[in-house]
Amino acid sequence: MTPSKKDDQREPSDMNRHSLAAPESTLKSQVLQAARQAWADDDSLAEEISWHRPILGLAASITLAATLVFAANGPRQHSSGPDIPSATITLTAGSPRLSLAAACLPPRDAAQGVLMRMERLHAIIDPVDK
Amino acid sequence: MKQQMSSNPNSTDSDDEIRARLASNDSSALDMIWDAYSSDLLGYLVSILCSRHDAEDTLQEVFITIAKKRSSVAKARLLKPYIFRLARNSALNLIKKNSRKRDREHKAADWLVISGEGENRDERTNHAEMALAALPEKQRSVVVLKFYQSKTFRKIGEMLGISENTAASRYRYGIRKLKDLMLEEST
Repeated sequence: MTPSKKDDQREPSDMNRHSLAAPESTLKSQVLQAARQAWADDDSLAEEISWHRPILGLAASITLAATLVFAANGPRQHSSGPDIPSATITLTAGSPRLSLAAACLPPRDAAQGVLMRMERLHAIIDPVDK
Repeated sequence: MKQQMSSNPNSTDSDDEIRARLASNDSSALDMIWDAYSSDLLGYLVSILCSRHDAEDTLQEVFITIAKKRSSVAKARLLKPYIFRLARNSALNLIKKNSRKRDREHKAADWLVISGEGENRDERTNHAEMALAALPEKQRSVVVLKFYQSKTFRKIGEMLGISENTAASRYRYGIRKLKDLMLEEST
C-alpha cells in the first residue's frame, strides 16, 4: 500500500469519539416476536391454501373450459359461413331456381358479403321473373 | 444439498444450520440469525438510513420478511449477502416511501453515540453525523462497517456481496470525502 493510500485511510479524529450502539435486548424480543407471528400466520395461510388450491384450480379449469367452448361456438352461431344458411334453405325450399341462385351466392361472412348476396340475388331472380 | 452448501468457502457451519432449520420450518432459525447478524445488520441499516429509529423498524421488517420467505432464504447460495441485500432493499423502500432521501442530511441525528465516559453529545457529534450522512450510501456503509463495527474489508465484501478491493476502495474514497466535509463544517 502506498503512503498516500495509507493517509487516505486514516479516519478523521472526531470519529474516534463515537460508536454505534448494539441492539438492545428489548429490540431483540420485539423483533423476534413479530417475526414469529409472521411465521405462524404464514403457516396457517399455507394450511388454508393447501385445501383451497385444488378447489380454486378446479373452478379455474371449469371457467376456462366454459370460456373456450363458448368462444369456439359463438362465431359459428352468429355468422354464416360459405355453406347455405338455414334461412336461405327455408326461403328457397321447393324452388329449384332459387336453390340454384343461392348456391351461386358469395359467403356471408361480412356486411359487404351480405350486400353482395342481396345484389346477386336480385340480379339472378329479376331477369328470370321478368 | 448439504454438501453443496458446505463446499462453499464463504458459507459457515452456522449458515448451513440456519438454512437447514429454515428448510425444516423450525422457527429457532430466527434466533440463530439474530445472534449471527443482528448487530451487523443494525449497523448496516443505520449507515443507510442515518436514523437509529428507522434502522430498528427496518430490522424488524427484515426479520418478518425472512420469516415469510423462509423457503427462499433456505435456498440462498450465500446466506450472509442474501440477508444483507434483503436489509438494503427494505431500507431503500423505506427511504422511497417516506421520501426521506432528499432531506436525509437535515434529519440525520442521534445515530452515533459517544464512546468516552463523561462526554456528552455536542456540536462535533452533530458534525460527524452530518458529514457521514452526506457521503454516498455505498461509501458510508463501508465506512461505518469498517470503522464502527470493526469489520475487515474481506468481511465487508462478504456481507455486501462485493470484492475486498471494492470495499477498500469505497472506504478510501469515503474517508477522503469525509475529511473534506468535516474540514468544511469546522471552518
